[in-house]
Amino acid sequence: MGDAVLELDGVTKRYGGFLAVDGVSLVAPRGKILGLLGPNGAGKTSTLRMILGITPPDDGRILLFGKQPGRAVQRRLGYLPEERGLYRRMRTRDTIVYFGMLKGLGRRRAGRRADALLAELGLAEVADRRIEALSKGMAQKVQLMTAIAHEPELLILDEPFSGLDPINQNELEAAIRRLAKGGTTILFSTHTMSHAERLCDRFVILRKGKKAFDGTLEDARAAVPRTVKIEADGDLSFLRDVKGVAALTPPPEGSTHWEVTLARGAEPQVVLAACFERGIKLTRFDSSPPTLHEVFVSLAGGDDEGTEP
Amino acid sequence: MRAMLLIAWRGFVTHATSRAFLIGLMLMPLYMLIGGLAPQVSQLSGQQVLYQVHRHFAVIDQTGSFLPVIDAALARDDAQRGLRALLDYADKNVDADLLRKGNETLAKLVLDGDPDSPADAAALEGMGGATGAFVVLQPYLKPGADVFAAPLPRFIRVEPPHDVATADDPIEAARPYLLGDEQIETPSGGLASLWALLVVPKDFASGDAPAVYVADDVVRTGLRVFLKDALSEELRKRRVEAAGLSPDVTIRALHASAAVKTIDPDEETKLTAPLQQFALVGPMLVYLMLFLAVFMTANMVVTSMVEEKSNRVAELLLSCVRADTLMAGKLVAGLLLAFLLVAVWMISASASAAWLYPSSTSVVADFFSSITSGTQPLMMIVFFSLAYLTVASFYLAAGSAAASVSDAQAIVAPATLLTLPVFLVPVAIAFDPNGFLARVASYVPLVSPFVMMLRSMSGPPPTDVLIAFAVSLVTLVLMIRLVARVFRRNLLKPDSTPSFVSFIRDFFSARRAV
Repeated sequence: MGDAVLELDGVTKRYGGFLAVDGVSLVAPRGKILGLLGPNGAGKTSTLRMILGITPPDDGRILLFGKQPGRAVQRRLGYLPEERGLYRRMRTRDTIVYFGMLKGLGRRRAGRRADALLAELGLAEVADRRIEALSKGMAQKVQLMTAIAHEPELLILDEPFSGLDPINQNELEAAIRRLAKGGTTILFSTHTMSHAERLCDRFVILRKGKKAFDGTLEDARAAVPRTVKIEADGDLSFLRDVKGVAALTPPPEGSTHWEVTLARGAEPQVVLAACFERGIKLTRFDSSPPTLHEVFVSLAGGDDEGTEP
Repeated sequence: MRAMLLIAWRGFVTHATSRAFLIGLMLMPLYMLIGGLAPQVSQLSGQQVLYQVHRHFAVIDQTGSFLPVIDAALARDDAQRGLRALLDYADKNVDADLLRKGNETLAKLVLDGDPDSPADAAALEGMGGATGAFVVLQPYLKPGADVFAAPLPRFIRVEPPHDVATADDPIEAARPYLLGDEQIETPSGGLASLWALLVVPKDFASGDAPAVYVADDVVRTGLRVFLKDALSEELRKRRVEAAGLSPDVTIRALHASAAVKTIDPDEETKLTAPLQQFALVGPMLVYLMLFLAVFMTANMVVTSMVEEKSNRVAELLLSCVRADTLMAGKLVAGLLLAFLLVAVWMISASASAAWLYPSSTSVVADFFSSITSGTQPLMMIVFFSLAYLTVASFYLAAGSAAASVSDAQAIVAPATLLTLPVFLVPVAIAFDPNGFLARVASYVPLVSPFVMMLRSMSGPPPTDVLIAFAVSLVTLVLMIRLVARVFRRNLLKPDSTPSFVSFIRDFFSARRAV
């Protein structure tokens, strides 16, 4: 991919005998938002740490802006770690300036950036307050500011929404959109599917260290069998024999809710037409495309490890 | 480099302005002040002992001839102590020129007298003791001179209580008095405890029976020694007489002693005994100060590392800088703190000494000028830095491996205790800094920079310096390499809590860093 900001090729990471990341390859196109999804323990954080150069891969290749990770490219990255942490006794503005300077900004420029970001994210009035005096939402915004103070070309966000209330989640979502609109490439890991579905241009789903999916939301939906949900009084077992139906799940005891799994390429109308032909009176016919949550569950192997719709 | 310096500076400023550091910084000068005051307080209390505390003792002289001897010795002792006090007093308060012109005999006694000379002591007694001499001194005192307070007797003989004097077993009878259950009447009419009882048996003079000294306190032997000396002298005198010799001639001959006059080439300094001791132990004190600074700041580095690890700042930092840069920043921050500590401590030590002992100013100045001349300060800074970095890097590794400060201490404390004797080797060589042991210790890894910190104050041979520098540097490089591996491997393991043994095993293992 010619305009790729980030490329991973067969990247592998082991911790002792545990294979955390197993031959993952992915590409982050410039200016896009790439979601790295997966249940807990899927290898998301390990992958991000390798991209950041915090830990080296055991195998495979990582290219950032077409180069090997190193000090030269490190300054073009911004990172918001999953485990939030700031110096509790440091003042808000000083914190942003400090991390901006660590990323190569001069003191004055870091100061100007800190002031601008504090104003933009509505924290100008707490600029001189110590971090320990801020609310969790405020501290999280400050942490984001430390990640973007130096205007990185690639921003890596590890579970950015965890622990935030809905209002702060919306504000953070808006901030991410603004950054993307400004040309920043964003790679973020999450298991909160609603945010990913709204924000991401592309998704990579990891499962037990391996890549289970890579593509757009449409690709994701196409990658999983489409289902039709039907409620009817009669017996719909005949649908098993209809061309285009891959599987039929009868309703549980006391329910009239049938679930029809379509074969790849089949349209829901074949199910509707078959029901009309039999004179079945339908009380519900839902053929909406699968949500990302459903795709995720299907591809990542269940939501028993903390996925949230 | 810029990022490393930024991390170092932030670490330095954060710690240097923290309450804990400032307390640590100021406690040492406070201790120095207290330490400096102690001798003065002790001297004051010593004067109180001199003037106010007496040892009351009784003598049962079954020979009937030794009691006057003891009384004479007591009078001589009082005169000698009085003369010593008068000499000290005259040194500060008497106009010497005026006295020499006005009263040559008195001048000879109070300006040039020898307290150990029986003749001078007798001369003082002839003037009515120290108090009598002070009266005669009045016209020759400097304006605003202090009032002389003659020392009171340190030993006072009292008559033995009647029940003791008449008992068949006076020692047993004296027990309640010696243990403080009963009190005796003093010559001034008061009551006091009996410090000791001396029984001189009938056959003492012939040497067939020893005198018996009974006291509850057998540790403070001043009175016992005093009485023994007095009795011994009398015995010598009697035996000389018995041998048909002239007692006066013989005793004088026995008392003859070589006159040795002490002259201080630096009359201006007039070092007192404590200051002379300081000049001797100064390098060791400086070494202990440096040693303390090394371990204090190394501990701060651990605390800082554990905090950054536990509050998850470490990962954020690692996204900005490499682990090695972070490690270097931490070590440099600690080094700056160590320099600050040492500078403040040395300045406050000098200031305390100058304030408490004004005459020490030149000694301290000489001492510092001796260690700040030529290449010595550079050597001291270099070896101090090497010593600090060697210790602090190990501490940093412990901090990176621990999930909490207490976990880090569980690693650091045993390691420190195990190596403490090694790091205290320089104390053993303090008085012979260029001797065989010192030279050998300078070549031993880990010990080398500590030994050289001390030796750098005494101008070691250049060969020793070069070899020690090479040994210390190689040790440090190896240590840093091991530490860097542990550091990278453990920094992002927030919940790891290794035991001391597993940490040491991990430290020296050759596994590849993750």
